[in-house]
Amino acid sequence: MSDSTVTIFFEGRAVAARAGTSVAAALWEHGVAALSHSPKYGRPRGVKCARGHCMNCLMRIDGVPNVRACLTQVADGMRVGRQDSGAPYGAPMQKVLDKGGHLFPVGFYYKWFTKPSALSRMFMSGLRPLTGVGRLPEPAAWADHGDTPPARDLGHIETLVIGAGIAGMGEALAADGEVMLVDDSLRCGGQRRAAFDLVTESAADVLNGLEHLAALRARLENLAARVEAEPRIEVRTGTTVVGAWQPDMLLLEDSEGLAVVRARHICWAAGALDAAPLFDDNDRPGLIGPRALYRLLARDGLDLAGRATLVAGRGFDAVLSAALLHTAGAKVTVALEPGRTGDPALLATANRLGWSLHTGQTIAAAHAQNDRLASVSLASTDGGTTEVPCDLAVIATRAKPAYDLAYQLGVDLVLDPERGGYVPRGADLGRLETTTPAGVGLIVAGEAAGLSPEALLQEVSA
Amino acid sequence: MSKRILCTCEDVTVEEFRKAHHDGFTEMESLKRFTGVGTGFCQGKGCLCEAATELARLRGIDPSAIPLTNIRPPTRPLTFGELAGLDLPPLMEELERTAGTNGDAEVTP
Amino acid sequence: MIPLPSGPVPYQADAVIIGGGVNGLAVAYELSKRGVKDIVVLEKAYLGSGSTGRCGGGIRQQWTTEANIRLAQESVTAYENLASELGLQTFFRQGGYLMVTDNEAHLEGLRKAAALQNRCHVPTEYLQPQECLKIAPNLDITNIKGATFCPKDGTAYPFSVVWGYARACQRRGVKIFIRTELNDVKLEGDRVTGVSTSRGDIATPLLINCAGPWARTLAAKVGVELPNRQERHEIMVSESCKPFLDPMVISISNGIYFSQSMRGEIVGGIGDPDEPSWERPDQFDTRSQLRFAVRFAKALIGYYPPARAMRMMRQWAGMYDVTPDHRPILGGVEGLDGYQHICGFSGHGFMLAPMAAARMAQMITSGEPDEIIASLSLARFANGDVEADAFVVG
Ligand SMILES: Cc1cc2nc3c(=O)[nH]c(=O)nc-3n(C[C@H](O)[C@H](O)[C@H](O)COP(=O)(O)OP(=O)(O)OC[C@H]3O[C@@H](n4cnc5c(N)ncnc54)[C@H](O)[C@@H]3O)c2cc1C
Ligand code: FES
Repeated sequence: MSDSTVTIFFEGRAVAARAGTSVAAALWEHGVAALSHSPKYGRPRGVKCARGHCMNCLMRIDGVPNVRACLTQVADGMRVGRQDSGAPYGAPMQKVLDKGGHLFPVGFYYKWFTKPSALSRMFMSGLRPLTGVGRLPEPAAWADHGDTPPARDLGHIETLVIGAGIAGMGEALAADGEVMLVDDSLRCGGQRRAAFDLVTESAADVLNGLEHLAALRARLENLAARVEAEPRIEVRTGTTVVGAWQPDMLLLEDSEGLAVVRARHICWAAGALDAAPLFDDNDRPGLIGPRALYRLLARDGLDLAGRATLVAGRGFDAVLSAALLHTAGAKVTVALEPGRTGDPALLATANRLGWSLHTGQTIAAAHAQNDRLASVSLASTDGGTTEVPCDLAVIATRAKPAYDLAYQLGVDLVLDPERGGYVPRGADLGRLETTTPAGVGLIVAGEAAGLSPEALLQEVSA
Repeated sequence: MSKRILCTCEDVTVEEFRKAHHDGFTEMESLKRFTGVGTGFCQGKGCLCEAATELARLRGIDPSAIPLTNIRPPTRPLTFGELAGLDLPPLMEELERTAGTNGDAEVTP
Repeated sequence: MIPLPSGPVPYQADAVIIGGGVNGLAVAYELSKRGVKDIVVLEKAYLGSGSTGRCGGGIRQQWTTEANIRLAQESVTAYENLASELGLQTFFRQGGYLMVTDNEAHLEGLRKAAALQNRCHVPTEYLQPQECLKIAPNLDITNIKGATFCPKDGTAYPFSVVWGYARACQRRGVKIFIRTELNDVKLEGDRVTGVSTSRGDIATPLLINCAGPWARTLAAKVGVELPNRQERHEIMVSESCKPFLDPMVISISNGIYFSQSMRGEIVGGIGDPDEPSWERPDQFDTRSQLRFAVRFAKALIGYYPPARAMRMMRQWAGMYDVTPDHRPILGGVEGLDGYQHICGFSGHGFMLAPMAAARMAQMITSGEPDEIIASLSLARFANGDVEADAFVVG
């Protein structure tokens, strides 16, 4: 992360930001957690996934609507603004809906004002300005654009591995012949490796005694070293696969734009997506998942010094998140899920580092003040509730296996909430090997195949 | 007003999803279109599993019996400018017309 | 709405309609309005799962044949009042259709069509390229040679139209069975006597084929051979944006069409001259082609440059049921009693549905012949009595 600063203009106000950070992180540090407002209820929304998956951070940036602030690096003179509801009556109406939403029938906009036709027409024309998000791009964004740079055709390759985490690196090493290994993070080893780097660089002793984490890190380092030393494997970080088309066409997106690639063998090892548990006001700005945290800290250098933070959930990612938050100088509270008592090493670490640790807790509700998270209510198995004041809460419950590309490649997916969500049918042992209708050899591995990170570590070390 | 948001893009609460089910939208295909769940900017990444799990609960059936709805490309929105840049002549000619050539056409869920 | 069925189909009905798309549900509704009592609609998947749920929702009166113009015109009047009639919003919005061309050779045809439409009292205007900008700001008119515009054309949301008809049907006692497939048709001599379905048999004197792209397969079960071909057509939506475009823009030179939906998305598609037609429904392949996305993006930017900085969200595909003259097949078959078609709509079965259904229901219940239906009968192909419509786009 560079030390130089740039100036961006947030709704006309100059805001200083570290060069290289994202718009979302810069605004958060500046005290702006609400990057957008939701379409129906006008609820404030803040950065959530930090990797372009949701819509919480859609902003108008340099005259272009619906730009993802979490993926956009700040630049000097950049103009950034929130998008409005589209009509003067938009915001008041959203308030009414938000406050009295329970009084409206579901889909009331289908059911109300249908009769007579004249009223229905009036309703439609009143509704229309409220539809859609973001206004048309301004001419400078498209008029003198010249020709878009042509995309690249990377041709046919032998093996494409998507996701450079433990599973992906393992598969890349095990594959025969040339391998292209892509990951949307900036580090071979994925965001977890980048997070570990951050922890060990600044406060290596945080991990002392946390053997599971140390083993995970050792595993990541070992695999990454082997991958990086392997001339057969071409690693492309900062590269996202953005879709699969018939019969075997994949599109990659990186800093240079789009590239088409076809592969004889594809391995889908894209890991998991942060979970989205359903509790009261689960959409408050400041509620994120561990994967988002890794990106916000390792990629954007988000400044959390002195902030009150909460990690709720279980497993590696809960502990790694806590360690990371600690390293970043935040005050850390950890709330473990029921059934997860925490091993003695974690208790000792919490003691040593001054984390406050609760066990047997689930999140009951989030509370916001001034459009940002103020506290989280925890419900414990014994019926009590605890309110934890915090600016940022990391929800590290069972993550969802990444599935969208697997579906597009023709994998039969089945819903298994126990394993986090949609998993490939037949991947009971955490790995699936099949052939797509177009004759492409396909492997689904790791968390994408429904393994928990803990099980994955065992699997790989076994 | 406190809300449990099932789909953030389309602002659908768990309550609304249940009411829509009660209204007779008993399958993901119609629930999705009626409430908007899974049809917003995130294309379901944030809510499809959660909604399908909720539907299984509402219907009292095993989650594995809830079929997955189609997930269409791209997996991340792409500008028309970028897409137009893909007009590489060899590529465009090579694009295969799959009509009638294979027996595993997509089935309507 | 229509819950999953919990029991078998009734053993007997006055009419059995195959297809829970817009046409099947509309004709069920119109028949029930005219007093037909026991009506059963069978849908093998979910309502709107066929072409209807995949379509662009466009409704226009700009055609080159009088039968199409009149059906569309009557349908527009129906759509104007459909929300109120069915008690559910249809999101019908009359932003007009702007029909453009880059090709000088088309101008004469556009002028003639506008004149014919005007004679039918459709308020179409012929426009110079410059005038298009008033209707669609930011349009790139560099290549446009001329256009026509009808302000009364528009778009509606296909699913709400389907649900609206379904609810109205239900209120009138029509029995709609989703996830129920027609397997076979029972014939006695030259008449239909019943059907067998995945949920049991139904005795019925009347079977109406509204099976969309599967209509040909169904017709074959009663020994009727339809000349219909089935074609894949792809379509996409963009991320949503505040209202910026009122009309549907449609080009008769390159086949692109796009409009902005009531959710703010650009909805649009483009025909592909290389798209083959398919013989067997089990081969319908509606998976996505990158080729479509690229062709569409290029054509869209060509007419609407702001789109350069806007994003495509998802693409999908559906089947057109295409007849040799691109006009529907309505009515029965000589020598076969109790069997009627409402199919073969190519890319315009959504817009024509309300009137096709109303006229068919009127003809069936009154026994009076209908001039438009007669002109769209299956027999026209054998008689060589075909007049193709030139404005087939998409
Ligand atoms: C990409 C695309 C864009 C389009 N755009 C437009 C447009 O802008 N405007 C317009 O007017 N039209 C448009 N169309 C055309 C329009 O969608 C169709 O003409 C129209 O929807 C046909 O409706 P339908 O009810 O006749 O058939 P469908 O909607 O196809 O319904 C037929 C139903 O029958 C069911 N079925 C079939 N066989 C059986 C069986 N054996 N047992 C039980 N059920 C069965 C099917 O499951 C299906 O649901 C478009 C089509 C496509 C593909
Ligand atoms: S897309 Fe930016 S936070 Fe999710």
